[in-house]
Amino acid sequence: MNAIEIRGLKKSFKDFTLGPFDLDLPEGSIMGLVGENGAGKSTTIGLIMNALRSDEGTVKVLGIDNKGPSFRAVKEDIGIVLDEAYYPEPLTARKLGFIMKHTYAAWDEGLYEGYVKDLDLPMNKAFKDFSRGMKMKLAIAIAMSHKARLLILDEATSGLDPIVRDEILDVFNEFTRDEKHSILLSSHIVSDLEKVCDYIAFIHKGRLLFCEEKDRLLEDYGIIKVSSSVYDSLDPACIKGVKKSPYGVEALVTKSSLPGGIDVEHTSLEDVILFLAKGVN
Amino acid sequence: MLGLLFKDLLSIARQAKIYLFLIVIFSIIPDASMTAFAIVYSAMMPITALAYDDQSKWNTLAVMMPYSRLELVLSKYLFGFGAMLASALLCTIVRSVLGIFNVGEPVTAADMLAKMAAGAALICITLPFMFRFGVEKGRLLLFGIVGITIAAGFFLDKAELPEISASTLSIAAILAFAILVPGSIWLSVKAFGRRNCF
Repeated sequence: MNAIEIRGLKKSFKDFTLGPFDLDLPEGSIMGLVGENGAGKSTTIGLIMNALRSDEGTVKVLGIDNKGPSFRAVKEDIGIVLDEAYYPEPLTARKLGFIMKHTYAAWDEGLYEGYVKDLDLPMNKAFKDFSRGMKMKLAIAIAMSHKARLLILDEATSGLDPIVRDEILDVFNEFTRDEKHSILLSSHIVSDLEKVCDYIAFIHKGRLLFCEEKDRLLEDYGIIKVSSSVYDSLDPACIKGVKKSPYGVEALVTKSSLPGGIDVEHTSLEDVILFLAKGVN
Repeated sequence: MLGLLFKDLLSIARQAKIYLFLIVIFSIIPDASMTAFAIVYSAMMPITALAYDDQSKWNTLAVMMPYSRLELVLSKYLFGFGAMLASALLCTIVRSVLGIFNVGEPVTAADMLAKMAAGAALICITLPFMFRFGVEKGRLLLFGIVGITIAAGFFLDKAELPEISASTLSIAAILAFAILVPGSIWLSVKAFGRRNCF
């Protein structure tokens, strides 16, 4: 089963259009939704959660249409963390726990207190006095304390220091040990996605450029550094992105369609994304 | 829904303590209009809770939680009506205790109901605007309504109006609320639906 299944999704604004695109997040996996600021990642999450009305297309979350009356019950199984922790400032971790106990039917107080303790958060300090890192950690603790099957995280790690980010990525890895648990993680920090994701979906200027298994992406693509004359002799179909300079040509290629005799370097996810984005531009 | 009510109550806990103190003070003052102040003041509690929601952008997250838009709206009405009821009960208790010592006048049920009706009307008129435009702009409207109400009261006081019986007034009030409350909730849900929370 797919945790998220998107078909022909489209949303138009005055100066921006997202989609139409299809996307599947298989159950038990982590998908990274990557793209520059304003690419449409948050809009996609808003559409998945039906916080925004789509113009076209359908979205199924945990097998249920997100516009149907049953979706409210499905929200019980979704842990959500947005780019900011949108909780009223006078509240404390203890008070938020009490509120969530009366919000989610499956709220697990012991689990929540465990996360708060493990993530080194104070129980009785007002939310307004939390640092950004603490706020995000608390939002993640809340999202994971009602036995969610799907976590949707919108830029949850941006603006955090590397130590906190690493701590949080460990929590996500732990979460997906259960094969019924899935995560959709939007970020523009590609190194974070490379660490934890099974699938990468790349959105650029409202268009989904690809959605692939991360390992396959890294296996299929490579970087070549050649002279202009060698570059000109290559089949254009194998070139996915190019950077030209007076010293030669650097290109992202599909390894399988490249002729022999050319040295191919391993590529990183960041390189793939940068080359593809430039190719589209 | 209960989670939303607790969220509002816990968010404004500090203000609520000040409210409680003021309600007791208003009740001690031996002037009938002071209890009206206390009740109408408590009717503004949902606006304070909404201000916290706006400030923290709570609704951006809340629409993704297991709450419907109707529940998000309805919780504010219930919170306001509950705050008024608690305020009216406290006023009644304080006045009754003072009555034992022959201080001030005891309040009557009809008097309290009339004041709660005024508070409920305030909630029903202002909340759709608060949901549509946010608390900052909505507060301007609140000041406008208070100003118009004071001016209307002043002119009605001067005008020679025909005598209306208490029973006729009660029936008119019940009919007005039977339309006003659901009408206001419907408008608030529509206004909240139009508002871009995300």
